[in-house]
Formats: sequence, structure tokens, C-alpha cells
Amino acid sequence: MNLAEVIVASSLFLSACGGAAQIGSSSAQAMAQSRHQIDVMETIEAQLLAVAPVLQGAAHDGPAHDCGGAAQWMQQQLASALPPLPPGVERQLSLAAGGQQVMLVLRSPDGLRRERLYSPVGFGLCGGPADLPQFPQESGDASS
Amino acid sequence: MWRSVHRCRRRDNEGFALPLAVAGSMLLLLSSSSLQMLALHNRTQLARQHRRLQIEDTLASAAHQQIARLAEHGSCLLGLDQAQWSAAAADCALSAEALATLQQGQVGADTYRVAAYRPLGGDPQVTSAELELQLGGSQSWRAGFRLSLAPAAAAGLRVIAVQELGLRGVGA
Repeated sequence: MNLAEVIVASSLFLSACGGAAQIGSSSAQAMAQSRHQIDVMETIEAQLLAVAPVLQGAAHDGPAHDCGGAAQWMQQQLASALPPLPPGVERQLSLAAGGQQVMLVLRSPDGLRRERLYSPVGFGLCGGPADLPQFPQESGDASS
Repeated sequence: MWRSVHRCRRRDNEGFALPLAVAGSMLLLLSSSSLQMLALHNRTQLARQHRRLQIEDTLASAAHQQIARLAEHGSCLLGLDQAQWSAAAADCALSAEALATLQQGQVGADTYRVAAYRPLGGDPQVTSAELELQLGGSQSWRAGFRLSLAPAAAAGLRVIAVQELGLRGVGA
């Protein structure tokens, strides 16, 4: 074993250590980001799964014939009763299809985005016989 | 003699450090590369899962849109199999064009069509129906939905609940 061999071997090993540490740390960062994304995806999924129970639980308050009023009522129910969101995740509830449907958009800062359109007809809140009572009209864009 | 033994030992030790360093470096790089491969695989899986969830969202939105359109324009079709819709269209005051339009739609940038509609529960009381929608485009994903139906005085039937039955793969 001469000095030159020791120098070459140690520099090779040290540079490999440096490269491996760099690759390892970027992998660990990517894994942590993936774990965070999974958590966010689960939170968003929980929001979407909560929509039907929220509306079905509240549906007794007033099935109606007027789909526009029912959509407004749905928007307000969802804005007040959906579970709270973790920091960074945004929820937007807006009326769509000429005020006859509700659009729920959920997005996180790292680019995850889910959006769903809900019609009050799908929850039995309107679209039935004409003799059902009208919904109490409440105005305002309930976004949260 | 003592000198020749010493030279022999020195020759044995020569070239020992470099192969050891190369082997150690290779081991380190291989293990860190496999960690990175795992991280990349995780990220790809997540992206694929997110895309799949977005397809489910599009089809669920399409189902709500389709149900709203059926309730508005074709509520008398709710109790009939899709194969009977053409024959029943006239009774529901629907032209052939209106019926064709009623069987397809658009959610955002995605188009969809009604792939199947089957009432369940039989005559005289249809209590539910199965709706199958198919996305347009290169990957024509299909999804099924169970509609709970209730009798309605004027319109015949009305939808009271929608249940997602999940994706059913890519259609033809």
C-alpha cells in the first residue's frame, strides 16, 4: 500500500459518500413530501365523503321543487357543516350551471386539486312533484 | 531471509485499499440509488392515484349533471331501460335530437355519454336504477352509479339519492 493508492482510494470513497448522502437526502425529502401529499389527499377525500351525510342529515329541513333555492341551501349547509381543513388546503363552494348546482373545489398548495359538481336533484332536494314547498331563499355566495 | 519475507508481505498489502474503496463506494451509491428509485416510484404511484381520483370526480360530476338533466327533460324515462328510451321519447315530448342530446354531455373539458341505464326492482314499482357513464377521449373510463328512486305524483319517478359504484375500467 503506497501513499498514492491511499490518496486515490480515500478521495474516491469520500466523493462516493458525498454523492450517496446527497441522493439519500433528496430521496428522504421526496418521501416526506409524498407522505404529506398522502395526508392531504386523505383530508380532501374525507371532505368529499362528508358531503352526502351532511346533506342527507339536513335534507329533512326542507325538500323543495325549486332547484335554484335548493342549490343555495346546499351551498350554505356544506359551507357550515363540512369538517375543518388543515392549514394550506383551500375549499371553495360556488353555484354552477346557472345557480342550479353546487361546485366544490378543494386544492392544496402543492398542486393537488379535486373538484365535484353536485346537483340538488341527486339528493332528492328538488326535481320532484310541483306541490312541494319552496325553499327559503337565502342569498350570498357562501365560500370558505 | 527476513528482508524477503517483509517484501512478500508488502506485496500482499499492495492494491488492497483501492478495490476496497471501489467496492464501498459502489455499495453506497447502489443503496442510495435504490432509495431514490423507491421515492420516484412512490411519487409516480401518487400521481397515478391522483389522476384516477380526478377521473372519478369527473364521472361523479357527470352523474349529477345527467341526473339533473333527466329530472328536467326526461323524468318519464327514469323507470325505463335505455333500450326503450327511443320508443318512449315521443310520450315524453322528446324529439330524437333531444333524446340524443340527453344521452351525452360535458363536464369541464371532458365529454361523456350514457353507456347504460337499467331500472331495478321491476314492475310495478321501480325502486332504483343503475346508471353507467363513459368518458369520451382516448381513455374512455366508465363508472357506475346506483340511483334510488321514489314515486312522484306528476312526473312518475324522481331521484332521491345517488350512490357511486366505482370505476369499471376503460370502455370500448
